[in-house]
Amino acid sequence: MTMNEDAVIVFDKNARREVLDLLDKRVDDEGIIVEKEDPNVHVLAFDGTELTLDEFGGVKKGSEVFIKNDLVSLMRLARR
Amino acid sequence: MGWFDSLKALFHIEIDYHPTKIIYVNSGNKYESHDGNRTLSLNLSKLDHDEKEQLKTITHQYLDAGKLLLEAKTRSLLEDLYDYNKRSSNSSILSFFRDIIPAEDLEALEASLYLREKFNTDRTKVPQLKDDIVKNFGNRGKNIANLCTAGYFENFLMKLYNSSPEQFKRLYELVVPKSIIAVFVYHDMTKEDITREIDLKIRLCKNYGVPFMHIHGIGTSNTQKIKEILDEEREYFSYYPKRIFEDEDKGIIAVELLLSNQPPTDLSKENDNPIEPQPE
Repeated sequence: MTMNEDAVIVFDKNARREVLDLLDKRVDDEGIIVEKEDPNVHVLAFDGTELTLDEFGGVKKGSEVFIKNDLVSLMRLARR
Repeated sequence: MGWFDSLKALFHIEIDYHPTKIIYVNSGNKYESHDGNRTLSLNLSKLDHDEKEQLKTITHQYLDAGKLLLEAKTRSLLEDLYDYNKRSSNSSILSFFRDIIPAEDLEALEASLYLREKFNTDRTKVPQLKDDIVKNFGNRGKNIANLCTAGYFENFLMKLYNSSPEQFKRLYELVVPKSIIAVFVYHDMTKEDITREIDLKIRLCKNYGVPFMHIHGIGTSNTQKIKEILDEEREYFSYYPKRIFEDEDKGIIAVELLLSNQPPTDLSKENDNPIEPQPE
């Protein structure tokens, strides 16, 4: 994968909740990202771990793969 | 209709596809264009229900097209990592250690090599990147980052393995988890903390036959603290031949102590550090 894309959508840190809403997700009382329809279901990052609002860095294809915003997670993504 | 045309139709705007950046925000006007229509800000909190539903569909179309929807800062870091992977000459270091250190350490080393490049090119990003390494790999990751930044993987561990794989195996589990060969001075360490750690690591190095111990400092205050300790404890340090490397432009100091002589007393007045040498 490369980042050579001609038109892109990005989001501001302060718009994380609104972006999650577009993806039918929300944040529970503990700050964990969950499915809007079923808050018992935690959204998982591609390494299989749940993620908090602070860790939410984005999403790829079909909102199936959530991406954490830290160096190590992005390094793993860049390696794919 | 593709996602971009749908977006233009939703907001009745005329913008060119190439190379536009759309930014989802939650402040300002409903939408604003900047940079000659090359950037479009959409305030999600000002959309009505119908607009939000349409934007939801557009966002899914965008993702289904194989595109990444990322926070701006995250995208910037990911772009830099792709560039780094293309231009970096560090892959030979990772290849060398791939089969001789634990997989988690190798990943921490990979992240630390990127951190080191940022340390040399853009230090503003270093604290956050180092926090990320510590968050993922704990204290062991912090030590790997320190050792890597100071060049120990190439200049000490690689050479050690090439001269004696057995000695490497014996020392690696002391060097990485306990960083016995070096004291890294932080801004929140007092001079007493530093002298205690110097004394402890000198004793550890001697116990394990390492003929040197290094002290590293970055920044004016850390450099100054190290110099003051060398001066205040000059009698103690006079027992060790030493070399001092200082780069004032980069704000870096490194002191090498050659551990050939035995000082008369411990440098540390309080010997209460819980770290003890491991049995061989």
